[in-house]
Amino acid sequence: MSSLYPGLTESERRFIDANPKVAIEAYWMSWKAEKICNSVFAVSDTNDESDACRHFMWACLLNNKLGQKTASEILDAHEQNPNEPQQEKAMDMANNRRGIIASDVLIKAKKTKELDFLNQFKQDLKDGKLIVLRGRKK
Amino acid sequence: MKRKFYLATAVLATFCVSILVSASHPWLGKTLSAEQVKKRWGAENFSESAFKQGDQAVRARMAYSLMTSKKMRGLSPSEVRAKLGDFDGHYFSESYPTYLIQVAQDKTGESWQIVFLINSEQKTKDVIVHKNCCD
Repeated sequence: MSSLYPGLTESERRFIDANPKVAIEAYWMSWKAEKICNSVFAVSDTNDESDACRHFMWACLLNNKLGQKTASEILDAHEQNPNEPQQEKAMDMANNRRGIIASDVLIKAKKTKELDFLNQFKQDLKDGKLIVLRGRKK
Repeated sequence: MKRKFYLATAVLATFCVSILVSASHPWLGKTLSAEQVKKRWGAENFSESAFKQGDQAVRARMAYSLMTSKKMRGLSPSEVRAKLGDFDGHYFSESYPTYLIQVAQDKTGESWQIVFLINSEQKTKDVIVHKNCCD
């Protein structure tokens, strides 16, 4: 099944082959995360706040649905792209990690709506808890 | 059983026709044909250096040439980055080289990007113009 999507990393392919059903859910959530972030930003860009939003929201949705262990496994597999510059990878991994930590707190407080996660993203962005390499032009 | 088969076939056919008519994939989004790209942004000849140094407007004018000339095929994403500059935009994952050619000022506008599709060997195989945001 993984051969249908050439943009996947080797680690993602291995995960998909071992966990096809979970992988479909994870893909669906990545799509959903982008859609949610598109409700805030008028463009999906790289290295900016919309990029941070996608990673944060995907981490939150994965953690909520699949638990921290599986969520982290999927997020880490996604970052094993040998063509991605190191600083971009570091940004993505930091924002994934922040998404996991923030959603852990929200899940414990039973605040698991998409809007709860999105509001947390906005607050974390404001508080400088997310990494942005190239800020959007105001 | 036969009825179910016909129903499933009808649903599948409707789904395929809707994709063809709207040039819109249910989860990967809307794309433009080469002719639509030419009509919107013109048909300037592609030049690596001009593309790399140019802004979104310059890149937009070269999108048609990139789609139709078959240049920049068979390259790894790293080679595309070296020739055309750092990626912006986003398509499905960070693996695909993407370059924004139009950015909406707010969510009522449209953002578009050039996307280099890659094959299973992680080499560029085609160029599309994809609606980055928003449906």
